[in-house]
Formats: sequence, structure tokens, C-alpha cells
Amino acid sequence: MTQATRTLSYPDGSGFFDVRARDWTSIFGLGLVAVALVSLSPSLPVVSLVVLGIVGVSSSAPLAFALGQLACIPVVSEISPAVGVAQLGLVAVLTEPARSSRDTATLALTVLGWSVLVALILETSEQGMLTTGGLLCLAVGMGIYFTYRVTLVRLELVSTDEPVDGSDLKTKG
Amino acid sequence: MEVTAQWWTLTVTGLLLVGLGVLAEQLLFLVAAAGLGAWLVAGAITASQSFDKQQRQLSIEYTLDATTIFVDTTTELTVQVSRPPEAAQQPLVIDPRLPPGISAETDLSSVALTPGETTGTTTCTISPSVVGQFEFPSAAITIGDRYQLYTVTLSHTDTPSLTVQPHTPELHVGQGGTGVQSAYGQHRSDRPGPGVTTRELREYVSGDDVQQIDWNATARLGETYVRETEGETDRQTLLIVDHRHRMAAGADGGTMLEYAREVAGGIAQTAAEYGDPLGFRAVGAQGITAQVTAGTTAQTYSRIKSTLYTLQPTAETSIEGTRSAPQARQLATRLRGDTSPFGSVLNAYVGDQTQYVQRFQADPLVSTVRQVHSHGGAEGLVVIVTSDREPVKIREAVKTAIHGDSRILVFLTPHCLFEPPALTDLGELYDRYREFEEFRRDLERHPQVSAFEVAPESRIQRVLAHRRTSGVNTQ
Repeated sequence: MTQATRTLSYPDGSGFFDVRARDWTSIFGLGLVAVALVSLSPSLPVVSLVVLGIVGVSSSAPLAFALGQLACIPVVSEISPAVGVAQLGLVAVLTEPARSSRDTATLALTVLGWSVLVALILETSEQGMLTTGGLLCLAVGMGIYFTYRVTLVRLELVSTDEPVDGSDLKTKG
Repeated sequence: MEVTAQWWTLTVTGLLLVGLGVLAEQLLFLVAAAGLGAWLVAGAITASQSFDKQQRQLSIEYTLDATTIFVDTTTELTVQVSRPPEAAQQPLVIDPRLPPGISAETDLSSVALTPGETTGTTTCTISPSVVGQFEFPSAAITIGDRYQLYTVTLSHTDTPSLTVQPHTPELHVGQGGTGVQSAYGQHRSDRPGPGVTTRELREYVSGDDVQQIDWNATARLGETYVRETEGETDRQTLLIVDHRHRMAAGADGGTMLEYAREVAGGIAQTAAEYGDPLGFRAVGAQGITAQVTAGTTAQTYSRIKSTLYTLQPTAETSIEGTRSAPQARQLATRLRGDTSPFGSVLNAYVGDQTQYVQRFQADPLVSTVRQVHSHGGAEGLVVIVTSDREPVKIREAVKTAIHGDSRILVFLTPHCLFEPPALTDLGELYDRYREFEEFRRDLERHPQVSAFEVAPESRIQRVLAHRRTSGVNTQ
């Protein structure tokens, strides 16, 4: 007889699109985005409407958030209060998984992280888009790598033995 | 910590957005990428915390129906996983593994818990195909975070061990064909002291401890009587097991070594039950092949038992030109008076008695006992398990082991009782058994030595039955 290995199982997803993908808070957020965009451009482009529709049925909340930003591009030309309202609406979409599992820590960290990164973008935008994009990637990469190393130590997956070849700390997993 | 396909999807999307933002010089692309980045970082931080919590609160219990079984029999392995509801948000999979040599009779499936599930169980019937002590390998625990971004694989090292014993139902341990129940036996200090066995009941004398007064005896006899008990002590025991090539004699599954292993395992078990400090030496063709320093910890007894199961007969070695003592004596007699160059050269070798000492020293069993003796490890009880192949060297080893108050137990596997039955007729077999018995009794002449035979029960009974029918007496 054999050893049957099973994989991690999550509650059933409903594919890439689901008409009931968004919760009421996200739907309200998308409504805010639509109102903000209409206030910016009364003749709201068809492309933006179609993309917002896709955001409403996209199963992945982070991807829906990214799509929502794309919906704003044809309309938004400069930073204004309406853009801020649209961004708040999209943050409601981004944090939907954390809300549905009542995970306030992830919710707060996401909002805080996003705010910090947006501040970084605005601060460095004067120095060119390449620099801003590079700094954004560096900040996110360092954040994830630092958390990864902390996790290894926390789970005792890092060997405390002195490395014989003088290299960096050896990891067990 | 590993990342999932979903993590890669979001990361690639984020990088594409950054690329588009740089090319199109549009800040909103970067804002979108920042949102994805924030989600990935926040997910990593909370995943890290949840993995740690899961590791601390997860309980995995292995249950074996029997921890000691015979080879080719089966036992049930159950792996039970549980976690508190507050740690049940993440999915996880526990993948128990079997050690090599143990196969699953039924499918051994992983235990998978979905978010919200707190318990899971898997059961499997396992069967060992080889003898030994098996430690179950660590189970792999794979934990996912609740957003399907990160996973981590941990090890659960608290696994059980399974002892697999050979089928040796025919073990006979005894003297002159009479079995003994416990050769190791309980041990007394030969001095009164704290204990449970009554040594004597005697009249009270001034200075005796009042607590020693036996009130029943005092009331019955009208005088004050005290009850003295045998003092019981921990006895330092050294177990020496021979696993040279000679121990390979015997049928498959019933070689001398398998019987020796059974006896030695019994000694180790009894020592463990009494809490006696037990040391171990295994003797191969080149000397000591394995040793365990004397100790009373469970690990010491367990290590000795598991080492016993790993013993295999070593390859036969022969020293060019070796000779037995009688052969050397015979040669020396023949060469006496031979003044030829040939005779005088040979005489120098066979006439020098120190050679025997050197040869004894070269014998692995004798040298092992000598080495132990010189390190002071031969105090207490020395148990030697070997075959009767070279009586002279066994006698030398026993003589070397005797030291002070030490006691020597010698368990011998008579070669004649392990030969294929078809090759020997019972009359000849009985004669050879008598020779062995004489040797065994000769060893026992020393008051500190007890010698026992170890053999297949049916074989020795056949020999004894032959003695009865032919009316021969070994006494």
C-alpha cells in the first residue's frame, strides 16, 4: 500500500468571476468610485464602466483593486478630493478578504502599508517615475524579505550553528 | 516559508503595473501596485504570526496498538491531530511517514484540516518485515495562511518507536537440559538493610532500631523481636555479546546470534526493570564493534536493545599460521632435541609460552574482557553471551572477568545443537552435548561463575529424550 499525500484545502472558490464576489461594503466602495469618477467626468468613458463592472464580479479582491485603479486612469488627470474618495472606495475592495474573516490585523496593516507606499510615491514622484517605481518595488520586497527572515527565526527554522564557510546564516526550511 | 501561485500572480501583476506606470508616466498604475504590495506585506506579517501560533497550539498524537511486536505481524497506527478553535483559521496537512522496513498494509493518508476544522485522524495497519527498533520519522506539517499567499512546512519530531522482535519461540536457557526461569535473578547485598525480603527474625538487642520491632512476633512469642530485611542494591552489570562469524551457525531465523540476541535482550530488560546500571560491549572479529557506557537511563537500556538488533555476524578472519595450545604443545614435543636449523627456528616459536598470552590477548573476547577489567568496568555482574567454539579462550575470558566480588554469568550456545539435524545422528549429538556439559560444569567450578546453555528447546529435548531411551546418565 502507498502513502496518500493530500494538499492544503481551502473553502471552495467559484472560479475567476462570481456575481456574488463583493460584499456590501465593497459594493458601497465601488459606488463611491463610480460617483467620484462621474464627478470628475460626467461623460464617464464606457471602458471605465466595463472595468468597474468586472471589478464587481472578480473573485480575487487584490486583482479587483488593481482593475479598479485601471478604471480610473481614463478619467483622472490630477490629484483631487474626488480621486481620494475613489481611492477609499477601492481600499474597501482591497481589504474585503480581511473583513470577511474579521482579521483586523491584516486590515489595519494593509491600509497602513498602502498609505505609507502612496506617501512614498507622492514624495518621490518629482524624481521621475523610474525612481519611484524602483523605490516602491524595493520597499515591498524588503518588507516581505524581512518578514520571511523573522518567520524563520520565530519558527526555529534557522540554525544557530556558526556557518563554517563564513556565509550568511543557514536555514533549515 | 514558501509562496503560492496566487502570490506569484499578484506579484507579477504588481510588477506589470509598475512597468506600465513608468512607461506611461501615470501615477495611478503605481498606486495600484502599491495596493497589491501592501496586501502582500500585510499578508506575510499575519501569516508569520499565525504559523507561530499554529506551531505552538497544534497537537499531534501517535498511537500504536502495541509498541513491541513480532516480525511480519501487524499493528494499528493512529495519528490524531487537534487544535483549539482560535487556531483553526488556517488549512493544514499533516503527512505522517513510516520508517524504512515498515510497510503500510492499508493506505496511510495525510490528515488535512480545512479552515474551521479542529480535529482529524488517520489510521493505518502497519507491518514490519525486519527485526529492529524503529523510530518513526518526523511528520511533515504544511500550514497555509488564510489568504492563500504563503505556506510553511514544519516537522513534528515527537514520534514513537516500534520494537520488532524475531520469532524465537523455542528458546531454552538452562543447565544440563533443565530450564531456568531467571538466570539474571533478583540480587541481594548479603547484608541486612532496607528491603522487603525477610532475612531473619531475632530477639531485640540494645541499639536496634525501634522501627524494626515486629509487633506480631513480639506478641506471639512474649519477647521483643525485630525483623531484619535483606538490603537490596543496584548491581552494576556489563553485558558482553559475541557476534563473530561463529554465531552465524544455525538455521535461518534461528542462528546462534538470534538466540544470543534474545538472551541479551532479556538481560537488558531485566536490568531495566531492576534499575541496575547496565553497560554493553559487542565483540566482533576485530574486537569491540559497539559499546554503551553503563547507565540507568531509559535511553541507555533502549540504546543497548536497539544495538542488539543491529548486530550481524562479522566476517570470518583467520590469522595465518595460528594454532591451538594442544597443537603447539604437540609440535614442541616433536621438535624437542631437534638440533637442525629447521628445528631450532621452529622451537623458538612453539617453546615460548608468552605466545599463548599474546594469542589470548589477540582473541577479541578475551581482550574485551581484559579491557573492561582494566577500566574498572568488571565490578558487579559480568554477562558473557557467546558460543562454545573455543573453550580455552572462553575459560580465559571468564578467568579474566573474575574480580573481587564480581559475579560472572556465561550464556553459551552449544555448537552441536545448532547444526543441521540431517548431518548428525542423535547418538553422536548426545556425545557432543555431554562434552559441552562437562565444559559448562567446569566453568561453574568457580563459585562466582554461573554458566547456562542457550539452545532451541525442541533440539535439546530430542537429545535428552535420546538419553532417556538409551539409559545414559550425564550426572
